[in-house]
Amino acid sequence: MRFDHNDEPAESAGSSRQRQEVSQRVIVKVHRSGYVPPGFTVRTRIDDTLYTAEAAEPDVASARDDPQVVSVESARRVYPEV
Amino acid sequence: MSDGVAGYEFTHLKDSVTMDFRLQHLLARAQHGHVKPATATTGADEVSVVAKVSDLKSFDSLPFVTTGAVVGDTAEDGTTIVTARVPVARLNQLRQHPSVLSLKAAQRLTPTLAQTTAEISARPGDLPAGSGVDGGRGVIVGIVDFGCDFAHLNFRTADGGTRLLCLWDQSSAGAGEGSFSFGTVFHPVDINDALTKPDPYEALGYGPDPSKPAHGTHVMDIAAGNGLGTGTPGVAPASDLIFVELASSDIPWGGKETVGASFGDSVQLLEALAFIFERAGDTPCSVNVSLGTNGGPHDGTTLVEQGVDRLLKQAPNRSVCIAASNSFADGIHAAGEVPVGGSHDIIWRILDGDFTHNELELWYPGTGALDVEILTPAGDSVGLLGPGQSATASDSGKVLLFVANRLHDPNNGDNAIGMFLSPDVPTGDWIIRLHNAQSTVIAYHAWIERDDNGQSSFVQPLDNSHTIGSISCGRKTIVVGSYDAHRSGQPLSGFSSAGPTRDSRDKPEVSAPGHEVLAAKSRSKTGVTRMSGTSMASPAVTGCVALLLAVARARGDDLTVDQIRDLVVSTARANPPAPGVKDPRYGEGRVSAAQMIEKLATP
Repeated sequence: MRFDHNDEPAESAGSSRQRQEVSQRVIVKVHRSGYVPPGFTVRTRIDDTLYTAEAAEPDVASARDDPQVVSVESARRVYPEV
Repeated sequence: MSDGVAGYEFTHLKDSVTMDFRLQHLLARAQHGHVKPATATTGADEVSVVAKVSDLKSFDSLPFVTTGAVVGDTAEDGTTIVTARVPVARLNQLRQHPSVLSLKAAQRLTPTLAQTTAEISARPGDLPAGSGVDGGRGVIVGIVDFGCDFAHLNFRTADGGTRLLCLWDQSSAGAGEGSFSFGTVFHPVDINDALTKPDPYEALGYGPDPSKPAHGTHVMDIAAGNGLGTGTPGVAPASDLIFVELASSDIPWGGKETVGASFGDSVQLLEALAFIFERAGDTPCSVNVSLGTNGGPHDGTTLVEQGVDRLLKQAPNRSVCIAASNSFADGIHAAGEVPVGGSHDIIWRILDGDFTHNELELWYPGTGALDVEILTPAGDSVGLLGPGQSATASDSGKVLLFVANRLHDPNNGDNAIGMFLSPDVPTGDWIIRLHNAQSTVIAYHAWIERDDNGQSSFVQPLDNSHTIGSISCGRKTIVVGSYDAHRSGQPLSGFSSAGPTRDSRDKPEVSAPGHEVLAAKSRSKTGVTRMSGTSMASPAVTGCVALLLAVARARGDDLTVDQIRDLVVSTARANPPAPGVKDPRYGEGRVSAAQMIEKLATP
């Protein structure tokens, strides 16, 4: 087994999952109050600069380079602590 | 001789000795050839006993006695109470030993929720008189979880109506309500109507999984059950309730590994909390989250943690308690240092038969830069990745391995290496070799993501610290560890995770009973079931905070989240843990409802 040749920039370690062309649930933090990156649909606003949203994977990838976006965090599984 | 019931005859026991009748019963069965089966704590044909002895040393020296624990101190008369295991066949011999004054069979105990409320000083009689606590009346307890049995009598009023102000089922195919546009929100009129039907769950279109006791029902009972069904109330029995059924996560893969697993996701968790606080409005609200996961930076900077902190700061009289996690002994954390100009190996073991994906995250300061090399269990190098690079390893178009070596996370500026293994990779010991070409030593922490269908673990370097859950590192939440309230000395639960956070903040804040807690069983109306976990400890504190908020409300006071945290932490009890020292698993200490209310009520 060897690494495939891959010229693409590093993925976020927090979202190191297989890419899928489906809508993802994410949490978004932005610099400017009320800003929503292209392709994102707001689900729930926590406040003016942090909200949950849905977006397709290519839009999520683009948002990570958007200077108005601080961070986009993919959903993580959570489990009962029993 | 026939001196029994007609058709039966007594057989008088051999070597009859005046003895505890349970032990006599065991002897009788043994004389008839019955072998007592092994239990978790005794071998076959062994029995647990409690003895009062005049000479502990002499008792302990008996070759057929396995001494357990000495209970309390030696009394003034020189006698000692001690537990032990002894073969059934030696019971008579033991009872006749000169050091043994009394010998009793250990009785099976059924721990009840009353032991939780007693241990945390939350019973009505424990609480300061005239404080206005009134069982948490006027406060909302919010639960984010799986499986709300709204039909259980502990969550209903005396006239049979529901105590739930609303129930949001995120998993149903509805249009939601207001700013929460998915799932179905049930109101009291819906729930009360369903309760009049023969099958209220079918009538409502929602109900806990019938195949197993529901986690959310058990948790809610600890926090705020009123005992109308079980006879034993929880911590805040007069509180109102809001329950959010977390949608089962569809990330990122399906298949057989998801069978039997219950899990939600962090985005919907944050939405659940926003929903509860929005519905609570100005009403004081104490929320419980007995959920968690392992991966992440463990410094409170994830957006879900930032989101929860922001919700808690938006208004007074809000609190979120989170379970510390049960990962202490799972081998999911490793930490170390990569020497200057050298390398450092981390061994990640994937067990045979693990049919699930496995994932790992490693975090280190943004001032450093590490190369990462991956070696297979066969010792072959997959390759080397420099900082800022990512790569896959594939076979026949199927991605077997993905590694990302990312710089400068936007939330904390640190660097992170993520590694993802498909179920199709060889099992065994994978090596993550870190190379440091910098001029300073680079320290790191690594966590293996939680996987209830096949948990992989580190082999070395194994480090049980920093095992606190990855959503449990926020700055405004109260994280709760677990101890066993049924045992003398309230020892920690073996599973209860340890702090600190990666940025060296103390977590958990406090601890509470989480071991073998008996609370409401779903789909039983009045039944109970036993569960263990930090899941059970957290709602005990959630209920305590609800009582605290009720007292504050009665006084006309508002409490900020920092004031609530301070009251909970500053009044926690020591012994255990050792006084004056923040324990990484007990936290500041064992929660006390009475002491936190006393402190609030004292000018």
